Amino acid sequence: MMQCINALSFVDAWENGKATLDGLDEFRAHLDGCRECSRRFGALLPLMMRDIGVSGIAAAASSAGLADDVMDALGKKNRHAFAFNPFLAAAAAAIFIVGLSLGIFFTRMNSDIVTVHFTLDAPEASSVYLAGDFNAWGGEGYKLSRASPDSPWEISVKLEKGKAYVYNFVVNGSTWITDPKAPARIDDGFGGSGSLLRL
Amino acid sequence: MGSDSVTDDNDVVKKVLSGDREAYRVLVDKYGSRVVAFCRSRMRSEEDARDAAQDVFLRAYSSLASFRAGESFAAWLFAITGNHVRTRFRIFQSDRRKTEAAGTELATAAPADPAEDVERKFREEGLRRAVSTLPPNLRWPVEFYYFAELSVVETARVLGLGEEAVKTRLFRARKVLRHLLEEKQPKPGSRGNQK
Repeated sequence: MMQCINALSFVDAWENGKATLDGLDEFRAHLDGCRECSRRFGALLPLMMRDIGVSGIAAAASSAGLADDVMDALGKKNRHAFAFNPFLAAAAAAIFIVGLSLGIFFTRMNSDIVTVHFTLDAPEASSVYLAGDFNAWGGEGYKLSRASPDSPWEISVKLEKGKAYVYNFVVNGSTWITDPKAPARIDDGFGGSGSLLRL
Repeated sequence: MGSDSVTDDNDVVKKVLSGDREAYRVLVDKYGSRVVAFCRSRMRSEEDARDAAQDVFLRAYSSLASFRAGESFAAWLFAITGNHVRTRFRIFQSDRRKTEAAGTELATAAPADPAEDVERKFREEGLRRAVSTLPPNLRWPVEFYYFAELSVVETARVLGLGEEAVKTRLFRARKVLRHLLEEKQPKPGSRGNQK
């Protein structure tokens, strides 16, 4: 039977990447019987389990019915967007994305949709995309254009009123920058910042 | 995640791309819990996490043509998942709902679940809170490795880091998390819990 001092040694070993499955079993049995160690180390258990190859947090997460919901949503999407096929060649897919956007726009013509015009001065850039939570951070279909090499990059996007959007520009395919003209910026959780727009 | 898993996933993707939409269910079933667990690390309410997971799978389906055969589907999927949850807006939205949801969740869960399950939920919530205080360079590896259960190699690929860098960050994160979680507990002989 593992004692508290052994439990502490096990935690030390885990911290240094040296925990074992046998040790984990004994440790768990100890936590079941020792309230103080359970309070002290219990929250670390899912991490220990993962390190030893036993599913911890994910195994406890409930995804019941998720597959049904996803498949239903895909079915509806395909019914509404007739002829929409995400697996066509890239060029054709881009056309469909534009088509789908227009479809959404036309169905919401009477609701609170506004056109937002984004611009960026980046004369040296070879390409600029707009990526945000409104396009799941994918730039496809959101490529900015410019009238001449000296003109700003620009794009107009239809967005719903009454919502807040976070976005950034992707310059030359890999450099993410916040919009210098954005009304506000927020921490994006990656150590960078996102441009915040409230409509 | 071994090469067999990669091969299986590639076969399923091929089926979906060839028109067998229903085959996609296999991937949702396989990775659903891991995507929910990962999203929950940021969303903090089960409802938000589930909604986010559904969005992720729809987004992944639409982007499936961009998946390169032979690659790790898990790494590809969680790159999408990471991008999806990165918006602070969603987190703010979640936090607003959390105030209502957290109370409801525990209040409704407690009578229905065994005591062990309730205790597990409290433990996980404590862990999530501790993880949320980590700096981004430690937090993301922890979430991809421990919550999404990606391998070190896959975590490195998603984050654009080397494997050694991921291992080092996980090592540092374990130390910080242990410190954070132990610090919250009353010291021996303390009366900290008494009101």
